[in-house]
Amino acid sequence: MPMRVGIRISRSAIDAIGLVVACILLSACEALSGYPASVQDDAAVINADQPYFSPNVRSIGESPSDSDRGGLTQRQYRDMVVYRQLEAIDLRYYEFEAALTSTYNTLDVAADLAVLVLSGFGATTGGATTKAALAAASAGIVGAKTVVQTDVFYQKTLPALIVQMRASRQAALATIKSGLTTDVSRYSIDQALNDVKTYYVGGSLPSAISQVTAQAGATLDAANKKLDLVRDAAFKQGLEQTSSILDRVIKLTPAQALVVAKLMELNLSARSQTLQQILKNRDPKGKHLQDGAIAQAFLQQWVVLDDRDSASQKQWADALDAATK
Amino acid sequence: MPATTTTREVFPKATFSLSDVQKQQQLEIKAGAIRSTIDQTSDPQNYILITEWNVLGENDP
Repeated sequence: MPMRVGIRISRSAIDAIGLVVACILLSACEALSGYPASVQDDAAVINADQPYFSPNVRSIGESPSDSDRGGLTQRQYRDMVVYRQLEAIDLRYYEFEAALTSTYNTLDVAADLAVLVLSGFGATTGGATTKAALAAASAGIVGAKTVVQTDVFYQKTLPALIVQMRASRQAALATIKSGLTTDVSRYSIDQALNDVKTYYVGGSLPSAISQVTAQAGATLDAANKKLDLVRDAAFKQGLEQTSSILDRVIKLTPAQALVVAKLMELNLSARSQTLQQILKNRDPKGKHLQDGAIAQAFLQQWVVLDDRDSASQKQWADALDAATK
Repeated sequence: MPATTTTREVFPKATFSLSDVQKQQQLEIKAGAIRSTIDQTSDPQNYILITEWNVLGENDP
């Protein structure tokens, strides 16, 4: 006789699972985008704007005859085309931005609600089998939510990308509005439509990522340049003496290195900010004043990167003499 | 992987020959640098000596 294997789940557990499904469905229907619903029929507006996206708007705009433009001058027609295109692009952009933010919010809220319901029923209702089934379902949702929450893109970078998209659009819009204050001889419909295209692209994720990356790269370059040590002829002249000072530092015992480090520390504040920062980066915990081996490694770097004027080299010689006498 | 810190030194080509920069590079290796490279091309006016150093005291509690 065949055996039937299965788990019996109580009615209350079935109710709980039904409530969870309802939470998720409700959340999916009512996406918490944070944006109010549009007060107009966006699709109808965009549909009405379609003639202004026609490929022949450029040729119509440049036609010498106003009759080709329904009696509008070249400038009036240019302005009309640009503003209608901007209107349609804006509507699509706001839909896009709302969809980006609601994607994360919907999943997050649904998972929160589901976990609360399942955990609550698991703790308070049914027998051991029911509790185990509910706990397992709850754990599954927690796991799924963790996946969502560790999505770095949505949690951490999306707000920055939205700000970048808005900034890029605003910059392009400023160019367009400035151009539209002038005649078509100075700001043709061709130029205007190219700028409108820039406005559209500015509101895209690839453009925002590219901008943010470029800015980060520029910031890194600027930070690196601040820590550049620029060498001059005096540095070149002091090479041999520096080499001999380095040899002396390498031969120090740890105890002697600690003495030299403490003596030379008195001179550090007179060095350039750049050199001070470099040495701080090398020993961020300041261990060169406590540990002989670290002091020696720290001094070796300092010697070879240090200024090579006679005063600096005398300081080294005096400190080494004092430690090794 | 141990933490490292990088130094960049700018040597004007009008003052320094490649050999001068190589001598400085050897000195830094002797002083404990992990590695060092000379960038001869990215800046037409200067040699750039880029040297990597280990961060000290990193394994201490």
